[in-house]
Amino acid sequence: MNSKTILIVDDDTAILDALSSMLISEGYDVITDTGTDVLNKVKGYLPKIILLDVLLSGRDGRAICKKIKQQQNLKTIPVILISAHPQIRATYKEYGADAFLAKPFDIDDLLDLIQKYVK
Amino acid sequence: MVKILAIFLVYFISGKLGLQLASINPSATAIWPPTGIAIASFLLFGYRITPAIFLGAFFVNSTITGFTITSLGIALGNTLEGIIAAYLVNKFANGLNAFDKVTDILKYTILAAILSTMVSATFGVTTLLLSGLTTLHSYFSVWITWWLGDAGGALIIGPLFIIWAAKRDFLWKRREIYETFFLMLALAAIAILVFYGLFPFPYLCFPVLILLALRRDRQEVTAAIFLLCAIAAMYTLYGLGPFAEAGKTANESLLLLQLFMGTISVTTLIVAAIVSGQKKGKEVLEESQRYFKSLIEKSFHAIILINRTGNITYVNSSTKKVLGYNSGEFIGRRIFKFVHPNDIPYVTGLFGKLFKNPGKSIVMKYRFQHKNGSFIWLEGSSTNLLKDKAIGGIVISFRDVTDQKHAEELKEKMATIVNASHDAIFTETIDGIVTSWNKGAEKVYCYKASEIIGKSISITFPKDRMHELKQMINTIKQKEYIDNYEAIRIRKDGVLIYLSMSISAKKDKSGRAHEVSVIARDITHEKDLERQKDEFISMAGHELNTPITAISVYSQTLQKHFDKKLDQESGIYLSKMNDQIRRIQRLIRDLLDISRIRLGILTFNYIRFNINTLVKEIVEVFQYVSKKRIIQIVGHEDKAVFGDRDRIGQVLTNLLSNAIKYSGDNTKVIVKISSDEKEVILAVQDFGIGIARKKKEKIFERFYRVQSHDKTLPGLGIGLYISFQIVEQHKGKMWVESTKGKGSTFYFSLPLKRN
Repeated sequence: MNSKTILIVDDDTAILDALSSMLISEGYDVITDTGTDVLNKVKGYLPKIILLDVLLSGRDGRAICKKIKQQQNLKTIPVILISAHPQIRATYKEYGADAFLAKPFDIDDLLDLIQKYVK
Repeated sequence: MVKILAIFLVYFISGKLGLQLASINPSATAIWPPTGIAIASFLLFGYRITPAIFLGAFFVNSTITGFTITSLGIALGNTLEGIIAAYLVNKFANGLNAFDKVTDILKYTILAAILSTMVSATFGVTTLLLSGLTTLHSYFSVWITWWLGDAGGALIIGPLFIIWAAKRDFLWKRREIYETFFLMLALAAIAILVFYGLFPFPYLCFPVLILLALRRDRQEVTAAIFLLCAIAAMYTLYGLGPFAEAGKTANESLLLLQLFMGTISVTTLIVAAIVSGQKKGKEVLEESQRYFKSLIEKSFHAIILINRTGNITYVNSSTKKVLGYNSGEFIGRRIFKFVHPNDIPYVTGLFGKLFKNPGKSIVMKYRFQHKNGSFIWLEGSSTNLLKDKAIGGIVISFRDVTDQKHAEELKEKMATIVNASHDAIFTETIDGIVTSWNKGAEKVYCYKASEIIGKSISITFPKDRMHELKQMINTIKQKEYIDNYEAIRIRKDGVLIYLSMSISAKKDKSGRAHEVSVIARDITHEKDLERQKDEFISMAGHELNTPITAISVYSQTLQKHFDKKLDQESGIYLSKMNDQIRRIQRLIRDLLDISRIRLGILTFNYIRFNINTLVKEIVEVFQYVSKKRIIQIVGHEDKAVFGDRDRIGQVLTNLLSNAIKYSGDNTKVIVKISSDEKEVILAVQDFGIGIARKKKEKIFERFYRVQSHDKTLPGLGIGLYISFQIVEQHKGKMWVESTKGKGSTFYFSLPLKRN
């Protein structure tokens, strides 16, 4: 239970790799998931922040976000929804998410956002 | 009153003259004109002149037998004779027209001249007998004398007065006067020769009389008969002529003469009646011929007459207008010579039928050669009037229908085209009731013509699009023409189809649209392909996005890496690489935006925002990047704008980017903000290459790009299209003003009010 653990959820492994490498080089610890086992990983690792892609193969990241936020012990973990569809920006709060980031994003913007939530 | 007096006098005088010839008995004469006068007077003036006749007869006889009962009796007989004769002639012999027809002449002769006179004779002689002025022995001969004398009067004097009274006009041509005079002279001469005794053959009078009857009117004929009578009577009285033979008494001679004269009179009158009837017939015929001719002449239609062999015998004046020929060039020629060779079998066939059927009419259409050589289409109605005396030919009335024929041919052609077309072509009333439906429409909509004609076109509208019918009706009433209208309709089997329609409305004389024609092309397949294409673009975009995102992350990470290591050179390379990566990302975003717009799934985030702030933000970014250019902001608008801030920013970015791209060497770019109460207008002005007028409309189309001479400036051209769509979605407008070589200004407006 590192204070710097970040959970990245995206169905594309290329993006998972890229983001992991970037975040690790910035000094964070990273756990990844393609969307199949998110809840368990969250329960297991209790990451400091979750980066959650909306469009997962066969699943909707927003539903997962909602599920996480319904759990008593997990709802304090900040969730950032990521999507290529800018219109999701309007509704991210309804799912309990704390922030929204549109793809493609500047990694500086991402890092700033993470900094905000991970002291 | 005057009439009665006149009749009385005439009767009296002629009576006196007649009685001068009385020989067998002072009161019975062989020549008694008054009978004729009486009959004529009763026929002409009716029974009210009875007093005149009675008094005349009374006074005449009084001079012989005194004012006695005898005279009364005789007068009564004479009066009755006249009344009875007039009555019988009116009832059975056509009254005053008794001398028009042969049968009536004969009836007159029998009724008036033979029978009625017996009344007078009987009355008269019986009265004489009773008065003792004659004996029973001589009753018969006196009676005969009386009777024949009266008969003569009826046959010679009666017609004279009756026919002369009917004479309407006294216009004689000079020729006629000479002829009449000459003939009368001849008659008189012959009469004198005959009755003087030189050529005592009374039948010699016939030729001249017949000639007169044939050539002259009946008035002259009766006058001639009278003349002959007078001459003959005169000579016979003196014992001369063929009737005054030795041994005969004066009375006998005069009676024979009377017989002769009576016969001649009847015969001549009969001939005259026949001739007159013929003349009248001829006149009537000529009159109707003249009437027809004038009708034909005055007609607007071209009318020609052809005879049995097809030769043209008459042409009216309108013919020249239609066919160009003068009558001289036409008359005598065969009509078939002018008919187009291809139409000759048809025409000759129909004419053949027509010739065989008098009175029948046939309408024909054929080509006829105009004077100028070209063939025109004529529609002719031909009537067989060969048997009609007034016409005696075939009347053809025709008009030039070349225009109609061409219009018909064109209509047929159009109908063929319409029917052969695969597109749906149909017509409807202004309220949408289908009036015609081609084969193409049957294929497209799956409704057969019989199933949909008379019904409303709305049965092809999906339930959620019914309102479109009213909209379309209103638009067509104003605009008369809608082109490239895309709509979704529903087939008979319930399948939805995409159609591209052209709709036009026909206006009637009062200027109101009354019939609507629609051509609809089924573009469902094309739409399908388009959708597949757009879905493919969307999919491709998404697919591309993923690796690009990864690359972007790595590349940015690398850059940070090199920055930390203070490797400036590598950092610069990576920085440039990152710029390009961002560019690709923008392009992919544009692609995705387009596909979303096309698929109708692009959604906006409407909020109220300050336009000035947005403009400043974006200009700052551009100014920072394009240090060569000077971007000036002019104007200010404090009212909040309602819209998707990011998307509006996208539009402004796109316009500024284009402005800079197409500025060429010019450095200035102006952004203007202005507004009125309804909307805010933004303008981005550059002073670069400008856009040619022709290309201005096209630049908002999807992939069009303005060419700058040989250089083709980079860009997919999607940006402007997307900007246009975004502005349209906001219910705003986008337009451009430009002069080639001087620069362009792109405008877009945003409504201030929330829609």
